[in-house]
Amino acid sequence: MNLFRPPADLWNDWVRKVMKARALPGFGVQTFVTPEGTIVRANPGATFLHPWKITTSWDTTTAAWQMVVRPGFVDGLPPKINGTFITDADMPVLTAYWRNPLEGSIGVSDDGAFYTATSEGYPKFFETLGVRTAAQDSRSATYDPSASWRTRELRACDIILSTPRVGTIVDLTISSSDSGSTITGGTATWGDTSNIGKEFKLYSSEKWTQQAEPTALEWMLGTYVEPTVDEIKLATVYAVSPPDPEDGAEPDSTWVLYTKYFAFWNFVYSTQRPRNRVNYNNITLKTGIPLADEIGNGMLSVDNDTAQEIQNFYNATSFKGKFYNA
Amino acid sequence: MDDLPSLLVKEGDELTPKLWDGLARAVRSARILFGDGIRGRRLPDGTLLSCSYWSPWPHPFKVAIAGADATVSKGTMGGTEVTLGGVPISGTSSKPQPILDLSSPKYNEDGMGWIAIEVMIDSSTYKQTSAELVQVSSLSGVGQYAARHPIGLLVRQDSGGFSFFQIAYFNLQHVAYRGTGVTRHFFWPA
Repeated sequence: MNLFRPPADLWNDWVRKVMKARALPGFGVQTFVTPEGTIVRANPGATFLHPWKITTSWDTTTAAWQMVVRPGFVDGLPPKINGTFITDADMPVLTAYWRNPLEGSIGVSDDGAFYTATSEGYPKFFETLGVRTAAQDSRSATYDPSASWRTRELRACDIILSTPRVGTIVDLTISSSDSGSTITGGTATWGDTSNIGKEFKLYSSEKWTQQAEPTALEWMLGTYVEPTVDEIKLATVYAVSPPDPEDGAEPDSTWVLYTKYFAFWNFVYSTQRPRNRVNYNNITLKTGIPLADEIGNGMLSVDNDTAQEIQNFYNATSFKGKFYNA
Repeated sequence: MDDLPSLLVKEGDELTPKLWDGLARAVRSARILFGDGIRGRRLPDGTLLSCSYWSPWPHPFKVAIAGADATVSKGTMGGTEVTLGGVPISGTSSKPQPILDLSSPKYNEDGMGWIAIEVMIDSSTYKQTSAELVQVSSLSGVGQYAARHPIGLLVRQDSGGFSFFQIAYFNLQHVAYRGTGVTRHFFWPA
């Protein structure tokens, strides 16, 4: 087939002109791309001042991005930022701490070689804005020629709602000897319980990670660490750089901020109720024949031990709380 | 939909039918169609877009404050309209919409007070018997056969007035569970 070979610059110029003519969603606008055209519609949601809505601003005094959170409530109470209620006339602000979701962490493979792991990544929305490709696992990286025009940098920051809860830390010391294992010491610590259900706070975090609850095995072994706070991520704020930023550039007033919300409504917070304790009585054999009882109870002891462990697990009480919408 | 950057070529690449069709599809797909809230005029140099937003959302329990008077738009608790002084908060055909007096709001030590719904339950059946709008300085301390759910928060200002923050946006449901010496009240959006 005899194919036309236009100058690459001319063809690419046409493609770029079409790219330039596309409608992109700005503030208060939604776009829906269809084969027959792009529907542009007003997005009233953008102007809906829901609880926890975040307004960002560049603070020239501290040269940092700051965030004001529209008051949201937990059990009818406003949370605090740095000790001040967010309903206060002074309007406390959060300062953004940034992470780079484009960079993968460095790992070491089984054969001892260093590699770059897949990065956190970002919502697909930012691809259309020209954010550069997030790092892929270098062991399976494939060149993506379509991404060459995307040069913008991206940073992210999480906004968290937090409240103290009862959390226990149990640490037993078990010694083994020829005669078996014995518990020779241990400590149990409770977290700060003074403000449970009374105080909620907001803070910004470079990268928030949900604290892990003890596993079933840890409960059963009796050695565990419970979180001393209940937390929920309200939003992630993303900062997008201008095209072709300098190496090492960090968010300044030239960057544009976007917020992805995980919560839109007020919350009720509730902790679990302690369960009623279940008393387990061992199964014993009483035949009136001492030798038969001894043999039978010996056999039953395995089941009794298992039942006791299940009872211990069941009786273990967590005060993990939950936030739900109301 | 074609990924436009994938249509970019290097010097010497052939212009294949796939590339040409891809660009044609992209041009068609990039046409601007006018959706809700958008008005547009096609001009020789481009398309002029104007945007208008919808009116604010008239949700249940929306509090309107005029001076020291507050009215609350219709909202239900367990399917029954909440009352103020025994009158449904949106009024009836014979009684006007009741007004909540905020001339002397009650505040707690943090300078906060609430407009709340106080739900009363039957002490034997634990079923809701009434849901009345109140202005209070605390959401607790009403005994085990009553519970309060906040509608909005009043924050006392140094000037003597107050700021108001809406808390409830939806109709509500309530259920009470009998415990040992305590009653657990749950509220959730209907």
